Amino acid sequence: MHQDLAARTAYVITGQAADAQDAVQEALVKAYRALGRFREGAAFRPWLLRIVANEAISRRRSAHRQVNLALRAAEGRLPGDAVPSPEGAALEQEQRREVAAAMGRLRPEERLVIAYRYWFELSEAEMAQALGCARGTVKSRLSRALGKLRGILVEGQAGWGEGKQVTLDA
Amino acid sequence: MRSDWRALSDEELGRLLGESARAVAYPEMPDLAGLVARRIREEAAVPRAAGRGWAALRDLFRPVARPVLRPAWAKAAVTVAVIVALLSATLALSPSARRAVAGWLGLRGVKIEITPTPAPRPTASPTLGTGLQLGDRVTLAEAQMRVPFRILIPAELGSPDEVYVRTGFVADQVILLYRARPGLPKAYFTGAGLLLTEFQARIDRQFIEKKLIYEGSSLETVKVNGDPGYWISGNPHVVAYLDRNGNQIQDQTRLAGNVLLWQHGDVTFRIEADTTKGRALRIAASAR
Repeated sequence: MHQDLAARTAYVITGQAADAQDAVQEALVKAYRALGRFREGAAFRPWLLRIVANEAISRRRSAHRQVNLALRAAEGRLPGDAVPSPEGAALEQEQRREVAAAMGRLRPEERLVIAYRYWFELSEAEMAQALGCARGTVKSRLSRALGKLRGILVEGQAGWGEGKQVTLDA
Repeated sequence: MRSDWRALSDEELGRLLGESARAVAYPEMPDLAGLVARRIREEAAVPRAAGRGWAALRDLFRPVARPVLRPAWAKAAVTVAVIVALLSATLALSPSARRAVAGWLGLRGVKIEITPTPAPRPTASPTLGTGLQLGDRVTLAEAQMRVPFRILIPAELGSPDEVYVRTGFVADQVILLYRARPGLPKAYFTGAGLLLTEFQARIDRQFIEKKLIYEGSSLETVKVNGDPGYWISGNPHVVAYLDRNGNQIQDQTRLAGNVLLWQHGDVTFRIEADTTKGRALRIAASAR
């Protein structure tokens, strides 16, 4: 359902359930109104996502920068789990949580490009449409965002200070 | 023990990101379909510029006339109503696209039957009607086979330049498109000279006459070969069909301009053209 993806996109940008909901609602109404500009036969999903993202980002800009995406509580280690070692599984899980938490420190646009690719698994063509840029630009934006994310993770390892700007290269 | 993030390749980071997708606890979001559908209905009914609710808008209406209703009109199972409203350009959507999108958006609250968008005909060259999303491009003969009533052609205009059948509405509509010609200027929104829509439905006169008046538009009762009709001029307006459950299905005129709506038997005819009342009436009267 497109509405679910729209909701997730809005949440990834705003990090606030209420803002995300407002953004999606407004975006659906706008999408409906803007149908005249939607070419029949064009991909609908990225078209809708673009409207959702714009709505969500405009809501973000007035709010403060960093978001804290809600993370699932670590699942308990089950006996007979298929993973080789419970410790290894816990570490992997910790890493995933760390990565997801680091996402919250990116700029909304950077978070969005990574989320489209790795969380929502959009194709490159869809990403280009959803981001309103050329396909070549998708690659460079993604790579820049990944570089920034890596920088945040590295900084986190060293224990970054509050509000510190991370400017590491990829 | 932490991994060394610095040494992580983009691919590895990507893999971790992919796995981290599950780590995010997305908030439960209520189904927004109802809310969105209601807003859309309200906005379609009330022009946004006016920024008033229905109740306030109703106060603006003054019944034009209180005609004695003939049983045939009153008993109509399917009724057609017209709401004159200022219409923003973005509202000029094709119903088929709107239906399709209502489905995509999961707007189940919008009581519109969802039909798959017909695939474009590969051989069809770009035509006015396909750009306007009038429905399936067909020949006049095909159109006639697809509707239960006899399609009328205005002798005044001759054969239409393009013919469309639009399905999935309260009733299948036949749309005859005439290109601009002397006396029928190219309409601003559509680029067409005239659209004649024909479909099996009845006009709810009471509804029209009670709710129609809005600033910038005017409504006039007319006769077309003795059949009752309306001349609506001024701003573009929304057309709403009411099905037997009272659900409103909205359509809109495609031209910034004038509409002649009339009913013959159980068929409703709608001419949309940037033309005068006299010319529209002559064209309508020549339909046979």
